[in-house]
Amino acid sequence: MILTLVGVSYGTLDEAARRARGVGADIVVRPPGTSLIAASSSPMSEGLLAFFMKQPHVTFATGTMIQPLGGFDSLSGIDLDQFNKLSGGFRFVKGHGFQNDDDVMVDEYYAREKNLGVGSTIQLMNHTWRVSGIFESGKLARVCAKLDVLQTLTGSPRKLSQIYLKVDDPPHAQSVVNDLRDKMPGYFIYTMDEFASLLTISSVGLLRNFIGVVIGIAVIVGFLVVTMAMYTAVLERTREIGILKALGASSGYILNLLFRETLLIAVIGTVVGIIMTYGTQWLMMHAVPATLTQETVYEWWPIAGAISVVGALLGAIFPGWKAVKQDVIQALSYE
Amino acid sequence: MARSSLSARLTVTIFVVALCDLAATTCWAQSTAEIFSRLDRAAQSFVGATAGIRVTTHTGVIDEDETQAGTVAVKRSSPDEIQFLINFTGQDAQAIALRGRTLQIYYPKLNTIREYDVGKYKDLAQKLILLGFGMPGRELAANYDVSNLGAERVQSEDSVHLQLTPKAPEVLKQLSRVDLWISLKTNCPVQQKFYLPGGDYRLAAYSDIKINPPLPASALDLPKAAKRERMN
Repeated sequence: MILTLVGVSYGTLDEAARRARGVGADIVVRPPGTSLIAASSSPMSEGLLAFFMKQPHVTFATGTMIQPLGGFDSLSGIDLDQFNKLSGGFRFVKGHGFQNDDDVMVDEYYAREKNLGVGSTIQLMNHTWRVSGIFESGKLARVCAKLDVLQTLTGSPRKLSQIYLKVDDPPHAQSVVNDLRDKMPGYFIYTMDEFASLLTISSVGLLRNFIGVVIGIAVIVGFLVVTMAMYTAVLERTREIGILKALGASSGYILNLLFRETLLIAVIGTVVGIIMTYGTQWLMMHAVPATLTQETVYEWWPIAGAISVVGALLGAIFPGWKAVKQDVIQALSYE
Repeated sequence: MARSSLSARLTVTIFVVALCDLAATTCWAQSTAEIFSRLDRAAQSFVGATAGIRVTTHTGVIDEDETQAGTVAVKRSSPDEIQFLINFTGQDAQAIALRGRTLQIYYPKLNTIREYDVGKYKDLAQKLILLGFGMPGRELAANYDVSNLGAERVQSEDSVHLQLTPKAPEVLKQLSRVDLWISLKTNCPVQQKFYLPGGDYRLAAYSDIKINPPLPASALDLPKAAKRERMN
């Protein structure tokens, strides 16, 4: 459970970082955190694009509008020609770019998950869209619509959620960012590397808390399961424990036996758990490839193993104490 | 002789100016207290309001203004809770409503209402978006450092201009200052100016303000037939 959920957290963030890098921009500009006052997710003016184009070293600027669709999904509004100039263009698996105002382009994973083909219709934001093309995943978003159409539909003409900048030489990106931060305090301006580095578990507080909760639950579940299993084992082996004690086995010897068995269960459980993560990975890849992405996070294998061993050993304490405290005569007469 | 007369006159002038300054400061201090107590009294009887609204969003670095216009209805649903509906019309038509901890945004062209649980930002949303409506003076004083900039005529209304600096550091990070023009007639804002970092601001001007008009429960409703989407 730990490995699967950690894998999904890493996978989802890495996928988002990969798509952000796929845009081909050097700098990303996001609005100040004052959307609550504006009650809008796209509060930046398109007029800013001309301002950015006048900045030293900036060779290109384009903006997108992002409309959340619930869950992990979102619909991105793009000016296709401008975006192609920035990113080098989408690589279409099927179909092509927008032809009509109600066209959307979807990536191959989204198309597979929603069973979409070119010409299919899809209902997003209570609006019917037609799929004009399916592109290779890894660029900006899973679903893209025409920017001006999305702006009109949401009553936000000339408004943007995010602006991407290209500079003449990537090493200049940091100096451009510093300059823009001075000119536009409050705006979130990052080099693309900085932005991608923000998409990590430690930077996303919600995911960090989520993983903490998962680990807590896993320890409690492991503790309870092992307590039940070992307690049952001790009960079932009452006579054997009595015989061992009659033959002179010490409390330490009996505890040693029980803890070794617990350790074995924990290690086998960890190995089975690791193997099962490949199963869940396969399942997600085939059932919900656009929604959930699971990665194999090798550095979490020993962590998950340690958590499983600690939980199991904690769970074995009470059954062990019960076994040690058994009266030899009563244990021998136990049916 | 002439020099000593000049020096005496200068001393008297400085003394008079200092005295006037002191008197003025005392006078402003009194009138701020007076405004607060008037707002306290007005808040007690405040049940709701309707007004026309015109919001100008200024982007500092490009010196660009964008304007939205519409109507606003505010209602006090309980002593601690204000509900509102802002209805923007025209090209950028949309409606924004706050009910408890749910912020609803209605997109007429999509016939969709998107619902956001604003959770811990509920108070901020209530007290910031319609700052000054039914708000007691003591609440303003508790949340902001208030400077009284004197009487001004705004939107054809005699009003008092208050300058508010948020006390909470987390609010101050996003909102450097708010200017509030409170009508002397209605004790509600005729204009609010939110100063955002980077030279941007958002100016909301209210017209045709009606205090405690008959407001049926449905006055703050968004279209019932619209599709609702829960966003978080």
